Amino acid sequence: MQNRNIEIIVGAFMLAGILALVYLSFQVSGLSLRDSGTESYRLVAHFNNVSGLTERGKVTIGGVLVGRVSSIELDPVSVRARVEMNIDKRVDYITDDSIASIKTAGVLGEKYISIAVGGSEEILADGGEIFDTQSAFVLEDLIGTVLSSLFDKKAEGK
Amino acid sequence: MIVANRISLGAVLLLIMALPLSTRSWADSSVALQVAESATNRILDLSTQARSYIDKEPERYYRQVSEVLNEVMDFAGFARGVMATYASSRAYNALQSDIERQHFNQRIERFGDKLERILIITYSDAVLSFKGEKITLSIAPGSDSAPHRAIINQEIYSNTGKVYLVQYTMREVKPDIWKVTNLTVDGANLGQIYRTQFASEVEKAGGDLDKTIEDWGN
Repeated sequence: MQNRNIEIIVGAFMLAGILALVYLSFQVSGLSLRDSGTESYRLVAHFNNVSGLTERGKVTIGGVLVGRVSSIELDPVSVRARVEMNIDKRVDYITDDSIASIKTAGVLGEKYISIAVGGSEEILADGGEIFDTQSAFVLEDLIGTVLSSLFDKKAEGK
Repeated sequence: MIVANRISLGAVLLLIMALPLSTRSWADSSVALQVAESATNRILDLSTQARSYIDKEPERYYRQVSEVLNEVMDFAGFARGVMATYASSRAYNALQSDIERQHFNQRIERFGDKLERILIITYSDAVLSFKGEKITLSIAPGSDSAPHRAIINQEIYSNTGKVYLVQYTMREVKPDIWKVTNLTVDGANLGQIYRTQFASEVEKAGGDLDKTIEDWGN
């Protein structure tokens, strides 16, 4: 009888572990069972660097989820990343002076797009482009910039 | 054979229809480039002349730079962008009385003047301290895909060999009148930085916009 109880407890733990893994993979990949029916419209933005941003990545305004990244491709002319986003149709107040930035969330370093809505009177429609962007900060580039400015100061001092 | 002819005729027609559009787009951006080049050269000249009198008459130099920058920079639009949702049409339309609407417009104007002054002094001082070798300007590849918009790349070569990239986001506000609406300095988007700072200052001031504007830059 005691053996049977232990087996049930171990089984329950296993099941909980598997469910936690499934939940984690849904969260990390950005998949959701709920948002598939939401009506949306399309916005585009170009970034110099999208480092780590993936399709189905989150698009937020003020930390609130308003859409998902639908595609990322390299523009052969500008050699910049062209990112398409599906935005919830109810969010119909994204102005043409809005700024889209790539930011990092959580311990896993998940990349997402944060839109800072501006004050312009023009509202972006389906297929519109967020022209002002802030690319992802790459740690190596940042270290390079700091080192280079240190060398510059040293050279100016001589 | 007839089908092939029709297809090739259709392709030629499409090409003819698309040609003026692409030519126009390129022409638009080249005007933006000319505007940026002219302003850069004029300000560099002003800064060269100012080195002889800046200690005694700094205001004279700032005034001259301001005249050039006002021709090419959309300060009011930039300020509105920094104030973001606090200056949006939605916020304006939600106001109940004429007095509130009047205060709303005055607030934007007040902040615009303050930000303009700060930007002009910062920019003027930066140009004055420029000891680099050369500055080049070009249209950012692919940036002219959106009509009436362009990004102009300005590469500043320092005397230590480093190249700094400043990107001007420009918009055609009237036919052939281009204005800078935002700028990115070495990857840092100035509009974004100011916008975040403004929102954070409003929060610190407990939502008091007038106090935020009054204390801005102090």
